[in-house]
Amino acid sequence: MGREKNQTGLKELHLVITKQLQDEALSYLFRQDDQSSFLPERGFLGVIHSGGGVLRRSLFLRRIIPQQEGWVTWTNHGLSFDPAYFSRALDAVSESALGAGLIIVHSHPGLGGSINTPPRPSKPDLYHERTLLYHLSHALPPGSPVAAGIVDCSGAWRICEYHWPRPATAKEARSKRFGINSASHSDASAIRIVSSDALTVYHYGRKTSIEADAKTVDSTLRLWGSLGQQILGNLRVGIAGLGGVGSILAEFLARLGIGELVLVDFDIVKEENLNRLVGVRREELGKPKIKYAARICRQASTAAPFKVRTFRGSVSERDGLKHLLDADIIMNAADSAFVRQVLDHVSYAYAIPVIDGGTTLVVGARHGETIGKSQTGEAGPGQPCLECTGAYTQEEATLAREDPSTVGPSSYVQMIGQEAGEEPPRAPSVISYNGLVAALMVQRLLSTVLGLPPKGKRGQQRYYVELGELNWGPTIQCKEGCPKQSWVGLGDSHPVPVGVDPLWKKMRQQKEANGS
Amino acid sequence: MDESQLPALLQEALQILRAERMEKARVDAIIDNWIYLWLPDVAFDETKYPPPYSRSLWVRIPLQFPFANPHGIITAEPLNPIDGHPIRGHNPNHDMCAPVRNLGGSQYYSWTWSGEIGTGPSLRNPRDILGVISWVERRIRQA
Repeated sequence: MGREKNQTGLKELHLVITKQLQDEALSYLFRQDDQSSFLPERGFLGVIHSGGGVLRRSLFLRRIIPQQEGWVTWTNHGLSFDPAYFSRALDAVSESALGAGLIIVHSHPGLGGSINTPPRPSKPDLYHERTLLYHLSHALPPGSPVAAGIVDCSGAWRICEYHWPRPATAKEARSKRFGINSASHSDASAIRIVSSDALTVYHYGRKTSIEADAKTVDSTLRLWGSLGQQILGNLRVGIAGLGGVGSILAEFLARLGIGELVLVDFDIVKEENLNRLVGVRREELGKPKIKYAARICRQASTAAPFKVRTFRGSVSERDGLKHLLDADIIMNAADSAFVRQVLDHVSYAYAIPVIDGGTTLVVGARHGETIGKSQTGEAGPGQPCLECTGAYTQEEATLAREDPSTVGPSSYVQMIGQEAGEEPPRAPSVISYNGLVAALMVQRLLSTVLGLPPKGKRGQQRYYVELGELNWGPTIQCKEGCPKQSWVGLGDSHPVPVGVDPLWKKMRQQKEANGS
Repeated sequence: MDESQLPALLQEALQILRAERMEKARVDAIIDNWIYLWLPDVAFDETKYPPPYSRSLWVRIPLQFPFANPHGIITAEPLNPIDGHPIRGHNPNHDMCAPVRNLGGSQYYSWTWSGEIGTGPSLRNPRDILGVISWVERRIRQA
């Protein structure tokens, strides 16, 4: 059974699982009370959801379906699942959000190798998983994902997703073209384990060579070693917004040795950006910021190989967001409540940690003094969401959906002191604060993926401009009634509130009018 | 108006609204992130407004409801309270009326969910559409 491109047409398949569920799965499959030298295989059924970006499809293990004694038994003929367990599993899918499917998982005891190497299925494994999943897929609603998993005692997973074409007529149903061997299938190339303070990505069959560039990363190798450098080299980081903060972030990450960056922004380089876009050239005025940022990243990168992918668009629109759904971790530097809300949803539904940052400066608000704060936060499984920590409110996200020209001075969102017909003033932005925010965001990323300090911190880290102090915000968990933790792993089944970005729409209209 | 292309949560909200509160509520326009939802039977306070005490109007509901809040109402005639006080946020013939202008919509009230009379209830699920009607009526009463 070789690798084939699956029917979704995406190049990569990942399994995504929370650390909590990974621990639960291992306790199901490898029990402490197994005293015999001949360890039995064990298994379970789980509810999965799926979600796709541009290149990558992810399967999310949402829950393990509890089993009664005797529902999964190990005999001389292999592992056997009782029909009552399948029946319970189908009930669990029908109780789940639309788009749910099933995974059959079993253990390979005593064969544990490296967690970076997936267990190899035996011929009986392949025969049984195909047979069981064929029947299950026909008992599930069309389009429901079905997959098989094998776990060894090192915690390594082998995941294979199957797709069977659905017959449209009774005649087709009898045809071999729709039979058990008509499946396309794909093996997962990585597993992402997400917890409140860590993201671990195990890539199978991929190794970033850093030897060629060892001199360039010598100072960081001393801190986190070649394993840490390899982790960074294997990471795909998405950046939303390539303005004052995002452009610095992109360069920082490229220099640190991140292997792939995905840059999404719709804006162009303007004269007023020249005082804060590091490395920008005057001849880049009028060019998309993503192009300038990609150039800087390519020059700065220390990972080999290094890739940078750009997309001109808005993260609050479906096509722009899709590119970021390929990322292992997302850095948000777009100063928009709409984007923050969209990425807040994504961080839970797709279990992609989102590190957010920004600065608010108010000039002359108190006794003529400049006040404000720079803040960074991280949303995702186990972390308080951006909304609960105060990074945005639903009302701010609502008003960011309006065409700015129609939210006029006679509305309640008029800025204090703003006259009728006046354009809203530009928010102050200073390169030093942008650099501070970018640095804190990168530290947060290094903490999440490498375990560097500050470890185990939750909520917002804030720099108070008028005090010159750096503190942690008071909110370390979501507020009562916040549903976001219950969305973890829903993938495409969760309605992420994307829509039309009014600023990008306006720019598109201007582009069309100019014929460019 | 073809509602089948609306997001599933909004479709569910509209079904609940029609089943439990306003059978004849209808979507008259879909523009960018917003629908213009026609409410045929909104109660007006007799002590503050002249008759009729049941009027129709449009409320702008985000396509991403309940993850975004309603913003603004549009009426055919100005609200004109009995005591004649000007109503904040009143924008006659505002661009926001354009999608329903041919249906008579001409008076835009740019009321936000977190307006001067306090924040509306938090919106979490499609059923909260019922609270939107109460918010519109309360907002008009206290305008």
